[in-house]
Amino acid sequence: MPDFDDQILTSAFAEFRDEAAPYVRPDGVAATSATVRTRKRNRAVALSVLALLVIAVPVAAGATADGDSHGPPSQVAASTEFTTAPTTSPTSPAPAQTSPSAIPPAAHGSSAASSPANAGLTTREAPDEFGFYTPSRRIVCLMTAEANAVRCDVNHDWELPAAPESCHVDWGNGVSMGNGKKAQLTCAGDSLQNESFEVVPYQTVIKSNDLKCTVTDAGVTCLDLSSGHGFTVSRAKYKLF
Amino acid sequence: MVTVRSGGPADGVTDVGPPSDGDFEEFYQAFFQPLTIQLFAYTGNMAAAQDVVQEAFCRALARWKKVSRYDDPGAWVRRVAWNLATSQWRRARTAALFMRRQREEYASAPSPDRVALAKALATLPAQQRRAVILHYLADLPVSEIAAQEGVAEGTVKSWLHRGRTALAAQLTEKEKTRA
Repeated sequence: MPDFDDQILTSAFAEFRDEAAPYVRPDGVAATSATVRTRKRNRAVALSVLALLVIAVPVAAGATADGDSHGPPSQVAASTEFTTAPTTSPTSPAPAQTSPSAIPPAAHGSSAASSPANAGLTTREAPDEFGFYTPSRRIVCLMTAEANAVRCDVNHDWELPAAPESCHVDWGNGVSMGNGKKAQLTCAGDSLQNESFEVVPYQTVIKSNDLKCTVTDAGVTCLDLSSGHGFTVSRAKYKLF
Repeated sequence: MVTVRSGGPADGVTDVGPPSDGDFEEFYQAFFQPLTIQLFAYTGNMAAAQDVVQEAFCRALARWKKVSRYDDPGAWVRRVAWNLATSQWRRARTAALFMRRQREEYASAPSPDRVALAKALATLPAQQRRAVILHYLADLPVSEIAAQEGVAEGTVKSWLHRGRTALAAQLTEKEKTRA
C-alpha cells in the first residue's frame, strides 16, 4: 500500500527533521569567511613558494653543473643516480685510479657531468666488448653490446641459495643477464679474470648498447634500459631486479 | 538578491545584480540546517554532516560571485555537500561510522521514532538511502534527484519504491513490536 507507506514515511521524516534541527550548530558566516580568507592566503603563499622553486631549482642545478668537475660529487646528484640501484648508497668519491686503459675516455665518448643528474659521475661508452675491474679488483665484469649482456664475477661473502640441479659447474660466483632476460646467479666453469681488462675508477658509468653499469665503492649496478632488469653486486651482497 | 529555493538546476545563470555578503548570509541561514539534517540522515553522524555542509558553504563563498548568479545556488551547494559526503574517502569513513551507529552524541535522549528511522535507513543500500532522503527531507521531485545522481528518472523511481517499501515495513514492524 504505497499511500500508507508514504504517510508513515512522511510522518517519520518530519519527526526526524524536527528532532534533529535543534542539534544543528552552524559555524556561522563569519567563520566561513575566515576559513575562505585563510585558504586564499595559504594558496597565495603556496603559489609564491612554488614560483620561487620553479625559478631557483634550475638556477641551482645550472650552478652545480657548471661547477668544478674535479671537485667532490654533489650528494643530490649521487642520490639521483642511485635510484636505479636500491642496494647501493651515495658514496664519497674515491681517488681515481689511473691504469692502462683499453678504452681511453676521450676516445670513447667520455663525458663528465653532462647533466645535473649525472654530476660527479663520469660516463663513457664501451666498445662492442668491454671487460673491467673495480678498483678493489673484487669485481670483474664483461659487457657485450651485441647481446645486451653483462656478467660480473665477484669475490664475495654471499650466502647462496642451493644450486639448481642443472648446474654441474661453479655456482653463484657472480651474476649475469642478457638478451632482455632477468639477471641470475651464474653457473659457469670458467672465470672472467683477464689481466688485460681495465680497472675503472669509482664514480664511472659505462654504457654499452642498452646496458648501463655504474661503478662505485658500494659495488657495481648494471641496468638493461630496454627491459628494466638489472642487478647490484658487492662483496657483501647481491640484488637482482 | 539571491533567490532561495530548495530545487532547480544548478547550471542556469540569471543576471540578478552584483552579489553581496548579505546575500550569502541569507543563503547560509536558509540552507545550512536542512542540508545538515539530510546528510545527518545519510551518514548517521551529526559532526560529519556539519563538516561536509560547512565545507560546501566555504566553497560556495570562495566563488560566490559566480555561484550567486546561478538560478539555484541551493542546488549547487547541496550537490557539493552530497558529493563530499559520498566521495570515496568520506564513504569509507562514514560507512564505518554508520555501521556502529547509535552512539548518540547529544545531551538529550533521541525519541524512539528517530532511532527507529535512523536504524531503518542504515539498512538501505546507499543509493536507495540517498533517494529516499532527498525525496522526504529535501522535498526534491524525481526529476531533480535523477539530475543530482546522474541517472534516469526510472532508476530513481525504482530506488524510491524499494527504499520506501523496505523502510515502511521496518517502521511498521517496530511499531507493532512496541505496541
